[in-house]
Amino acid sequence: MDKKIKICVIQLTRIGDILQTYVAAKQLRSENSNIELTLITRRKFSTQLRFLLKEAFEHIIEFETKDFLDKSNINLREALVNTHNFIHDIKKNDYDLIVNLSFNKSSSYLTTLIANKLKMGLYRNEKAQLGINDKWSQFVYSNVMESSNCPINIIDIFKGILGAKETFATDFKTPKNKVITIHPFASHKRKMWDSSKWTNLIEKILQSDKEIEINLVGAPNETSKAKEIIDAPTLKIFNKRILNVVGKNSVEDTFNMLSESHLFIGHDSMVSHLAGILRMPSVVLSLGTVKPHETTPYNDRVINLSPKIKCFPCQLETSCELMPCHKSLNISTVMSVVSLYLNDKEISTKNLLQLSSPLELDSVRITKASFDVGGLALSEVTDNLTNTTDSFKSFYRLIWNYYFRDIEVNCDIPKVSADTEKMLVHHLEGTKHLFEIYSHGFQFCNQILDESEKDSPSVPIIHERVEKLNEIDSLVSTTKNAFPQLAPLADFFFVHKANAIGDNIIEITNSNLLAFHEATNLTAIINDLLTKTVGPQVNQNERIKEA
Amino acid sequence: MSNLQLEITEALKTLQSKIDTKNDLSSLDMELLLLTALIEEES
Repeated sequence: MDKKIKICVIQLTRIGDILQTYVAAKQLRSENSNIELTLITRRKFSTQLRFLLKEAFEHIIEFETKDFLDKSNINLREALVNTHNFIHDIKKNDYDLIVNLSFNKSSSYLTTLIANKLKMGLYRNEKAQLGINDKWSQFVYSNVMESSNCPINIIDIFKGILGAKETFATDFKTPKNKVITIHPFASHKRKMWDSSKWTNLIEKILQSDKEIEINLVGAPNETSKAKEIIDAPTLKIFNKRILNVVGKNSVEDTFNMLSESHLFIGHDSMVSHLAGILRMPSVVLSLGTVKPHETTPYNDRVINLSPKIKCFPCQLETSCELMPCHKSLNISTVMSVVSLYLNDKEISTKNLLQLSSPLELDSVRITKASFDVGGLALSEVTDNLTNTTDSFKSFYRLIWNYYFRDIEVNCDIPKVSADTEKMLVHHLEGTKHLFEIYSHGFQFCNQILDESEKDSPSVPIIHERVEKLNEIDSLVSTTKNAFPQLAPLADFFFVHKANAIGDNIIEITNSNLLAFHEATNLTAIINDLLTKTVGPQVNQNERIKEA
Repeated sequence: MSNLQLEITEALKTLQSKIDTKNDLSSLDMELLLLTALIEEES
């Protein structure tokens, strides 16, 4: 029998990230029988998930920082001995591949310390500088961590890093009861409605059908908020139909409770991901900093509702007291979606307009999840025109899947308003600039390589071309600022080139030559998609001519 | 500030001068950086 390939996955961030890692790892394992997976994680996040994690990982290494600081007056030398012993024990396993899916500082050092052979994700070089070898992780660094415009679900990204290809959909049999499990909380107040809104929604749901029963689930630190919701006077008459288990259930209990429910309703949180693992019908409300395309539960039975407001999704650092997105995502529209679902009716504009006013409906983006060759896709169920950001989101979903996975996802040409069209025409000009800049980069790389192949290469000429390449970076940055929707492309290739593979100028230039070639190709595809979207009225000069 | 934190601050200063003088870091240096990052992320 062949020796198994030992892969160690590092996930040091929170419980939701561990669940996303689990889904990707489980898929990898189902596609490859010759691998042995280990997970390194923080005990406080993973202990409650062991019932799931053991399905994907043969070994789970759990630790806490306090393990290294095991007494109150510990000195640095003793703490470092504990750290060293921990690393030493892990290294004994001699993994073939280390995959760091955490994207934080500590994980980058841990990856470096335990990697004997191959590594993926963030690591540190011998000067402690950050490095990323693989393209998917470079994509996360450039397009996920700081941007709100990532069109790909994080589980599809994790699957891409790990090398899992397919999407396995479990066959959840929706129970014939009328039990709805609700998790009305999230990790930050910006990401969740206040208690009164939930009270109001629960009241409407219970009024709509006297057979409906509700389970309220949540963690121990959410008990007082749960009390606020169900102690409201308007819910007193429904007390017998609400089961409040907030703070009482383990994660496994909650998982089992979900599996016996007809529908899940909640925010983008750990519980919604548990519902996603079951692939159960879910209504997920995204607010504040939540990025629906990136973190909506990996579940093709999800209806996602998010506010249609310019500042959504926001950055945590941006101060916001009034939280206008909470008002935008109104109770009436959520109730309409729930009602259509419970009555087995299609969630369409026509049906929604019978239950909500056009004004209420117009302030909410309602998207339906589905699986396609690119993984999880969200598409709008309401007949709205596509705005500039969403138009680019669908273009980027197409080009990234083509670039990273060599697959073609379907991309309908968006229907846009006259204002959006103006913005797209503006960016069409940007693609032309970017194409020219990247083409120059390609030429300078070629010139460096030509010079270096000569019998007596001219160092000043090579030096001058290298200086030109630095100017290319600066020009790309200027173009990105003038045409902000091109930032994902510019940022990715900046990070990709910064991590060019090679130990000398020739190897690095060869790597950059390829990067410039790929960048020009992707820019040309975006130009083509923009041209098709804005129609024939666009000046033909804006089109990139085929070389 | 605890004694441990003071010791870490001093050790990091030494490490920084090592980086500034373009010396490669050893795995022991990386272990210090790992421990420091873990403590930072806890707070």
